Amino acid sequence: MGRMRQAGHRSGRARRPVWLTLAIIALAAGTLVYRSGFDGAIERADGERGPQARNSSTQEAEQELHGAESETNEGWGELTEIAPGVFESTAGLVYKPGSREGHRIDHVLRHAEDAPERPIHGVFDGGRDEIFAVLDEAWSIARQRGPPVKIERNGQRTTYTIDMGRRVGYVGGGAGLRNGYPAASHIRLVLEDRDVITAFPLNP
Amino acid sequence: MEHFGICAACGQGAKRLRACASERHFLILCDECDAAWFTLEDEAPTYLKQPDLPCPACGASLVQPPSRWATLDEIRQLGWGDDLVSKSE
Repeated sequence: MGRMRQAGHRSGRARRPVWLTLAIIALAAGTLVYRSGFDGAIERADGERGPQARNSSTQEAEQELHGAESETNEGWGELTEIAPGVFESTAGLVYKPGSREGHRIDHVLRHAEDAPERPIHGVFDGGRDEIFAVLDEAWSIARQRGPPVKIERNGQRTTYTIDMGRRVGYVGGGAGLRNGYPAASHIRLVLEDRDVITAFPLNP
Repeated sequence: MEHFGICAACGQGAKRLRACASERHFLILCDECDAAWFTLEDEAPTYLKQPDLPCPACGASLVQPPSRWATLDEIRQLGWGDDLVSKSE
C-alpha cells in the first residue's frame, strides 16, 4: 500500500496536467508580476507620479515643520460673544461697544478700505475674516514681547507696534495717495488691557 | 476734514475739535485712538473713560449724539482757525 501510495503519489504528480502546471506557474508569475508592478509603482512614484508624491510628502514635511504654527493659526480671528455686545477673538482680543462707529469691530473695519479724506489711513489686505485673523496673529506675536514688537505704555493704554515681516496692507489716505500707496508690513494695536481701541497697518 | 495734525499717540488719527453732547464744551480728540487734549499746547494726551468718553467739564459724552465734530466756523470762533493743518472750506 505504501508503495502504491508512493507510486500513486508519484503517479499523481506525474499526471498533473500540463495546463495545471502552466496555470500554477502563470499564477505564480502573475503574482510576481503584480508585486513587481506594485513595487514598480512605488519606485515610479518618484518619477511618473513623483510630483504628486513629492507634493504630498512636502506638505507633510511642511506640516511637521510648521505644525505648531498651523495649530495656533487654526481659527484665528473668530469672534465669540462673551457678554451682550462684547466679543472675544481666538487669541484673546476683546472688542466692545464704543467709538463713534458704535462698536470697536466697526471702528477697526474702517481700515478694510481706503479713506482718501483722512491725512493717513492704513488699509488691511483681505476682508473681515482676514483682518481679525491677522490682528490675532499680531497680538500673539506681541504677547511674546520679542524684538519685532515695540511697546509704549501710557496709563491704562498700551500701544503695540508689531513687525509682521510681510505685507499686511498698505498706506492709504492722503499720505498714501502722495506716496503711491506703499505696502505696510507693521500693525499698530492700541489696547486698554485686552480691549481693542483701534488697530491698523502702517510703516513706522 | 478740519484737523490740527496727526495724533502723536497713535500716529494715524487726525486731531480734531469735538463738541460734547451738551454742545457747550469742545475738546481736541484723535479720531482714531480717542486721545484727548484740552489745548493745542498740551503735549501729553488725556485718555477719557471708555466707551462714552465723558466730557471733563460736564460729563456729557463725546461719543453719543448730539456730540459731533466742530464746524469750521466754530473752530474759527474759538480762535483756533489759524492752527488748522487742513480745512475744507
